[in-house]
Amino acid sequence: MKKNLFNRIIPYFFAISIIIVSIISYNRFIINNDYFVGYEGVCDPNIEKCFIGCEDDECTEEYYYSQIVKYAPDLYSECGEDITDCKEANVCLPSDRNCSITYCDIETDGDSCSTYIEKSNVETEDQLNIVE
Amino acid sequence: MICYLFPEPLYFFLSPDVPAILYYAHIPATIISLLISLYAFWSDRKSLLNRLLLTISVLFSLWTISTLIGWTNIHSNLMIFVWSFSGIILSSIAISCIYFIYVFLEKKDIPTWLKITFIILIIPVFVLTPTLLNLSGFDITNCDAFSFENLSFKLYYTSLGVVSMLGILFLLVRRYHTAVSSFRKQIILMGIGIESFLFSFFGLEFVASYLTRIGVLPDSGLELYGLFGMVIFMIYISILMVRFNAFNVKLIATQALVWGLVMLIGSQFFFIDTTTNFILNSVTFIGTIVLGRYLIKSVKLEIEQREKLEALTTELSAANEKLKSLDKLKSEFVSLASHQLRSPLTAIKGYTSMLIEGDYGEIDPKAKEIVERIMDSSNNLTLVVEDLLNVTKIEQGGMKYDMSKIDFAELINETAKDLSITCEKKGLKLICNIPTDQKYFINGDKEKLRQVLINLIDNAIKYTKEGQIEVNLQINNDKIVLFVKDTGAGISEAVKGVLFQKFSRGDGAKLNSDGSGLGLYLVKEIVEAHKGHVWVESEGLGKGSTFFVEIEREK
Repeated sequence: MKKNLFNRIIPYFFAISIIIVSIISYNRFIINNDYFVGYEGVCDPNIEKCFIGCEDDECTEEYYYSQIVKYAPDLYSECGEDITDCKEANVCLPSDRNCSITYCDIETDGDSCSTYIEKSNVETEDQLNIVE
Repeated sequence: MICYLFPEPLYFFLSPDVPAILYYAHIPATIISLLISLYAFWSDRKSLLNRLLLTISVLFSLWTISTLIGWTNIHSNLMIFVWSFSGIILSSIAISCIYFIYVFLEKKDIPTWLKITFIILIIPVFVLTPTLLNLSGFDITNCDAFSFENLSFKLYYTSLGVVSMLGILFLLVRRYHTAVSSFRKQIILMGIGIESFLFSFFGLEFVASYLTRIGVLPDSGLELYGLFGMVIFMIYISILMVRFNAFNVKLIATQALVWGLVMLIGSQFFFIDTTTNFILNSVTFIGTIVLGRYLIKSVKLEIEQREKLEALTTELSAANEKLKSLDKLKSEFVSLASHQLRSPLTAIKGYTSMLIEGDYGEIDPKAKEIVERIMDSSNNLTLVVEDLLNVTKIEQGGMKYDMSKIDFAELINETAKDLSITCEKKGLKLICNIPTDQKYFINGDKEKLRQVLINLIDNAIKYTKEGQIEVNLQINNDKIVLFVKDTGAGISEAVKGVLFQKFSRGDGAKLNSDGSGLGLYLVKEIVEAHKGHVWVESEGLGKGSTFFVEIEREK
């Protein structure tokens, strides 16, 4: 009897569990947008150590970016659905919760980092030497 | 937030920016698995095995739908919502597979402790799914969540797939050792199918997502090839259905072949670019469905007829066996009854004989007549009992023949002399003029052959009202032919065919209501045991009859 009751309860148990999980997940992700959004932000290699990305598979054209992580509701309120051409997306505002901008670290990321700053520093030094 | 570098999909699933293999891997595999599992479920809805197969297919379909959304959609909230269920779906598939294999092998439900174990293993996945410990975010540049997945959580539910693979392997090997040869083949087929599915599905899914996460692969396209594992699994399931009637499904090879062909042709639609090819493929698709249905119907009809025939043969065989045992039972009863009758009959004959011979003093002539009638009836009854016993011996294969070289003519003369008194009493003439210039030696059992002669001559006497009975011998090449000819009731054509069967009476049965119907049957059995042949000729009713016995001559 107990065994039969247990066997009969199991499918309902799983069904209810799935429904509860679905409701909680829906509430979190769809209604409250309670998650972080990661994207590539604008990065100036003259000022910062940027990640180097390729525009195409053959990498004929490079671009520079930083890794930005923002809380989805904050980003949504600043930029809406599409963050293209949204300047606020590239900076962490004081009102942002848990916003972070990660630049390239040569020690950990190695070749993915831009060396533009070193080059520009070397050029400046060379120029200085010439002047002297 | 939308993935700003990707285009919006058409009709929810269709996106130009994804590899074509995506649709080819997802859609046919899903359709095949659902069709086959639904077919099995529909054939026997109460079967736990069929329900589990359907569960696996439904979970797989949910997986393919979620990954299709993941591949084609650009809305981060929808994608992260769907993505978050990966753990539940994958772990459920793993648990369902091991449950399925256990039921397939043991033909019963898993024990309660195992159910509790599965629940304990899967509960953490359910609990952690909507939390940060599953997914914390979404990358809208690459349009994926790999970098935001909790590796420990992912490892946990993927390891359930590994546990499932190993557990299934253990169950298969354990059951293989105790299985009969036909079930061993099924075990091998099922094992290859399900392990291929789990290995390709879990293995490639984890490897692809991990390598994408660490940047080795640009995307997780590799996992798409893992979905073909389901097609392999379903092929093996179909083989089991067709060859072994597994899942209690009566699926014939023709059906599987036709539907497989239809799906193959249907899947071509994903690769067609031109209108001409689309039309040609559509025509082929429709033609295959129509002709396939017709073919399936014809083959099904043939199979049904063959099955009916087999069922009838089985019934017939069973009925035959029953008849044999009843016949045996009857023979045993007859033998027992006859033996029980012998003793009282012997006593009756003995005492009546003593009375007739005057051992108890002279008896009144009228009383003597009655006692003589009692004696005659007892003798007749003794003959009937002897016949019954002989028949039983023959049927049970217990009749023994004491073969030796005998003078058939001498035997006939002796028997005719014994029966001449009976003949005279009835006013009939018994003629026995066997030529003496020849020798009529045969190899046989003297007493049994005497029985044959008694039965034939006695029959002739019983069925002849007036006239004569002639007994003679002829030599025909190497055979001796005995004939007993009478001027009696005659035999019709209809009766001739059944005359030598048990309990068969001639047309003149009215003349002799005392007969048992076994005399001629015994004649036939004894003559055939002597490698001889017996038959009757008669011109019809009222025209007498002649019985012939042909036996090999002994030189």
